[in-house]
Amino acid sequence: MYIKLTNSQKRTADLYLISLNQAKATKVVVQTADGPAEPERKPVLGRKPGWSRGMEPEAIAAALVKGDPEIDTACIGRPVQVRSTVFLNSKSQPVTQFRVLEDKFLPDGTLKDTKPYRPTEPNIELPIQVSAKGNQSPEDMVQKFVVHKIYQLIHTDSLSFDFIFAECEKIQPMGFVRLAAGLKGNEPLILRREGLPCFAFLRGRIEGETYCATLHLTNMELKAPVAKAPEVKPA
Amino acid sequence: MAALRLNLNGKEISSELSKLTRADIYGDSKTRVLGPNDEVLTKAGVSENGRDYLTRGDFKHALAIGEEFTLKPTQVVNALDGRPVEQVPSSFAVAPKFEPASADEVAHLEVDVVYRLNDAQLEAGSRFIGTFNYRAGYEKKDAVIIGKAEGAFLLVGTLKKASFVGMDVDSQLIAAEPAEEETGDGDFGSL
Repeated sequence: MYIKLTNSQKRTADLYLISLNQAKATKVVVQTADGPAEPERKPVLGRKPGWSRGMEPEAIAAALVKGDPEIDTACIGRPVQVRSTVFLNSKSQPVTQFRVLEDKFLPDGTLKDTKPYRPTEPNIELPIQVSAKGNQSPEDMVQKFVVHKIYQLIHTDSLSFDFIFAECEKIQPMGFVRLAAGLKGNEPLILRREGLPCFAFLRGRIEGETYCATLHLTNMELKAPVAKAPEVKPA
Repeated sequence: MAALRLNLNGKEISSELSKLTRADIYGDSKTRVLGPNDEVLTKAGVSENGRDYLTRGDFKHALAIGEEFTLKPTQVVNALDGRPVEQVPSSFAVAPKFEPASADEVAHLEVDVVYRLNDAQLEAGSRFIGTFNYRAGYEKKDAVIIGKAEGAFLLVGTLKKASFVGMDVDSQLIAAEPAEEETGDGDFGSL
């Protein structure tokens, strides 16, 4: 993945955005005649699909008491692959006309509002700007925010090396600088479609002629939820 | 939830945990799909033959080696040397140890789960680093404890290691040193 980073002088550089996920330290094996082999998990049918289609709950219960209608030895265990998705009504029939609503709930679980669902669109293709506000020291950063994803930024060529090295040199004494996305530079960062918007902080460090630039994403503050006010009972 | 015993820099404390999510602080949102007459619809997968609509619980996973399915027992081994791996016990069974840590160390934790330590009294601004496994498993999970004025928090995830990057080799197409000594004007006869 690429990112376009714009500094405070409005200069922009293309940089690689690299996930820091490491390979798993363990693996699952099965002993075979040829030695240990790594098995693959494959989906198989676990019950006869749609056997209760169009049945009332009472009829389903009665059928289950009477026999095993959900078990069909001709199809149980058959490998299956899901090719597409569909929405079904209560009679398990596909429906082509539907609408998607989004219910928003308050922290106490009460419904706040309901709106037609609109998926979030990514804004990672637009330049991400270094913001003048919101700088954090490492001490403040770990006390205030829950970082759910960390990426490393790497130069794509020698010009972008000079750019990001100079930025890291500037950022190092501050710790973290806030990044802002969107055309106006006032939006949170959204990496993918339907992704949760998040605030981004860039950390820059240098050692001799080398640099380490990491992008820290957060969508949650580290704080206790607001306690519900006790209900006042009439005297 | 059972109380968790923790060893914080040699001092043992005990606290109940409560999971903390975004929904607890900011609320949550859920989507509903409605058909004609506002009937709530359910999502299903269509199988490769196009006839079966697979809803939750219709399919399971089975282990296969190549094209053949197997019911042989599985074993968890080290990915590098293939040796069997011992299970890491749950932190509720063995009290995890935490050591004081700098903000720089803690800042590289990619957090998966946040818990509140309901009964822990920690100094605001204190930080401890260690490991925490809610359930027994095969890999230790990194964890950090943060003390704040409003309470103590246990953050569980993975410490990420980002390396320093240099410009040792600009491009493999450009030689590090010129092959021959040249005059600044160039050798026009060689053109």
